[in-house]
Amino acid sequence: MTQPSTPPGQVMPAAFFGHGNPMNALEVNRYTAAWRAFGQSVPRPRAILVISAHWYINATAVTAMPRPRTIHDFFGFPEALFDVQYPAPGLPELADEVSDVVHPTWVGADVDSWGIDHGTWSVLVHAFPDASIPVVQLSINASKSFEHHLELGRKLAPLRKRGVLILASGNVVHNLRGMDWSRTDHGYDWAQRFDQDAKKRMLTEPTEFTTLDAHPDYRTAVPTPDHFIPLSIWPVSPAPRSPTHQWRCSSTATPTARCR
Amino acid sequence: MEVLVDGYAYGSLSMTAYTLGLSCPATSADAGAPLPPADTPPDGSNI
Repeated sequence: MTQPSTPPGQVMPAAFFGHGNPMNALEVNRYTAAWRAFGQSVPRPRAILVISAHWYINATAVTAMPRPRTIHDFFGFPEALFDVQYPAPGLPELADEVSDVVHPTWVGADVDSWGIDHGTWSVLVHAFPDASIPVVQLSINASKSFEHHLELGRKLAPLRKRGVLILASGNVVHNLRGMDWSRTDHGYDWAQRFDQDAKKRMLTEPTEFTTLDAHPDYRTAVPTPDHFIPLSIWPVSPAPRSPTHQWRCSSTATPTARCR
Repeated sequence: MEVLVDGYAYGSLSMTAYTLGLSCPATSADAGAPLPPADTPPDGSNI
């Protein structure tokens, strides 16, 4: 399906995807059908900027290569999944634009390290299957606070007026150690409580959803911050928060990300 | 802001997706989360 082009002055939509199991890339199910419907509904963007949970490093960086590679950053899956390629072009000049809008945050231009990881391509193979739109990834900076990422998202918002589709990919509830492969479509009670309360917050006070760190199920639902942070890089203008209310996003080995 | 799709997988994963500035048509697919790999523990899969 051919998407309509972006009318001048239009503000591009944005989205957060719970990407889940990378096998979604090979299947048609209720999630991938919704991702496809999203891709068919948006005006054709100039570029797609993706914040993926799987590019979690100690720096803020954007991919800046003309032909980003497809990264298969998972283990134990069928060969067919390792054969998937998402050959979208990059857009090196978008690195400069990102750097400009988030100033004074320093943004590294990655020309040969990362590419398009499964948090990105497992969704995009459904949303934009022809892989013709340039894709650029923005890293999560593991050494920076949650507040930093909120501010980063606010600063990215002007790119939506320049034809850039900003997507985030993670999972609101993501606890690998608690996962049970046999419970295919099941959510534990605590997972459902946290996700439902997050949903209420997102739909009513999206810029205040970070107060979910006080939720009784937070530490179980978000044992590491990598998959939750993409939801914070939401390209809207958040309300100012108290400087005493900050999260630290340390390594994925750290069992919680909360501090004051 | 709207919920694009939601659901759960493997007990401790939520699949909720949100859109900002866009409403998408409802879809009719019924199938849920994919079957997992047979021999890999979840915390070794890097999903």
